[in-house]
Amino acid sequence: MTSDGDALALAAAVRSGATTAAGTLDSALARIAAIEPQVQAFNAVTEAPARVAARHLDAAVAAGRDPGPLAGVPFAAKALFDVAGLPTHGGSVVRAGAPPAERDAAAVARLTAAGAVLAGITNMDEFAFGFTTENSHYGATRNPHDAERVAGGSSGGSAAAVAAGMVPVALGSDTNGSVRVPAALCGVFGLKPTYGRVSRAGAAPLAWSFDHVGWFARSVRDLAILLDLTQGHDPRDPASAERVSPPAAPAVTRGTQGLRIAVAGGHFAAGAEPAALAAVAKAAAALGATRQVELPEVPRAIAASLLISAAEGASLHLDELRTRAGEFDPQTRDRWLAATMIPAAWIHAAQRFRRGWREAATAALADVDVLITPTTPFAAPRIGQMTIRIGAAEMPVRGALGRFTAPFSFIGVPALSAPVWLDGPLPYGVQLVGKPFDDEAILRAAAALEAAGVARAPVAAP
Amino acid sequence: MADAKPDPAAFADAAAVQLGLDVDQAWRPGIVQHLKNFRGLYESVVGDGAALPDDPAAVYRP
Repeated sequence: MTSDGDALALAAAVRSGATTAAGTLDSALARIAAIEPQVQAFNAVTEAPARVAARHLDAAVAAGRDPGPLAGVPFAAKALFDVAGLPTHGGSVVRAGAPPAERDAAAVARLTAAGAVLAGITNMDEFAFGFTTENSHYGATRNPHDAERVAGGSSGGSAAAVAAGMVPVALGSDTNGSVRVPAALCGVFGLKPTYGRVSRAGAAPLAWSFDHVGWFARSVRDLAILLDLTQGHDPRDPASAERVSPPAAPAVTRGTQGLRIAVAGGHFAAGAEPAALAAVAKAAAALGATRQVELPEVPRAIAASLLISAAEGASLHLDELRTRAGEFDPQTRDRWLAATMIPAAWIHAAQRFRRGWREAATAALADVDVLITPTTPFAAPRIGQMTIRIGAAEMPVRGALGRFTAPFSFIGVPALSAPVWLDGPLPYGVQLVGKPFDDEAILRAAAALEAAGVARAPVAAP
Repeated sequence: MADAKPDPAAFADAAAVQLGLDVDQAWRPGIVQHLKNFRGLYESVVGDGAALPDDPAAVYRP
């Protein structure tokens, strides 16, 4: 089952001539114009080049040429992707005056080559360093299901744009959870593929050894087609894997027969709202997963993950911190500065632990194809909310949002967030984690949840 | 010296000089607090002092 108006349905209508790319774009632009003031998902709407692209696609259809599998599908891209002719500001005024990019990022180029039409650039935490998209320079993106709440981050604008029905798919990036967290809070599907499977060329980095390109969609088959269109070796990305992966889209229809699915215990069964754990139980029941598996030493893995990613990011921005620290987002500037000072011995200890933990986690999941966890410990917090009480513990909102996602970026395994609804007005994310380069297994499990009506991404009406 | 307590403020001041950072005094308390937090993360990583793998290079290609 797919959600109404997903990308493949729109493309099928354009490809068949039932509608036009120009008409599809008109609808998207009208929806953006009507809803954007409440949601604040976009930093820029790229109307003029989008109209040119749509006209070319309609001409191709009229001439009998193949307009591509995503013909006429409007999409958005997080503000860290290069788009030819625009500065890549990464959510920061520090980069706002950068020269325009000379070419599109690889992921943007591959989608537009498939006929998709870039409709705009979306809001994010500054330099992707955050989980709430409360950007001091460009404003807070609001959750389309409740405008008083955050959209999650750092790819919050992309998630909100999909949740609000402004575009059916949008590109984001995920370093410690920056696709999965906003997907969970906004009630859409979000995929972080295996590290190295999708090129990051032309995407401004946050932390090289953690960064993944990912995306948001309202159906699982859209998640899969975007993987098929964007995956493959790219010499422009030094981490790009050379192995050839088969198409993922056919897997979506294969069901879950033969998949070994387990629920994560220990760290992943505590420190969360009861409703977040209830969403996991609902998904597990739908998938027939009764086994529980515990990963070792998850808090140490999170600690190592945060140390390494902070140090990598600070190293990347050191020159700007020397000369323009005063222009950084005040919410994260002190942390950036402190991260430049982390002793090398601490980082190498964390990297050594990282290798050991990857081996330990791999061993613990040797006979598991899909691991189920909550994506976040709670539903969307309020804008400006700094702490949240879970049981007897008071947690900092921003740090806690990544406690279930960061361990899997740490070791590069594929993970997606599926939107699950309980009785309340806000969605919860259920995270499905797979083995390296077996992204198909988590897509199959997500498709089964979607077919059962357990996971769904209805368009929000803010 | 081995028993000396960590002084993150002194460390931050020295590191800022070494790194060529021009730190506004208003930012200093935040930087010091984050350095304390990073130290806490490091202490979590090393845990009880059990040996860590020697070669971290394998983490980059899953």
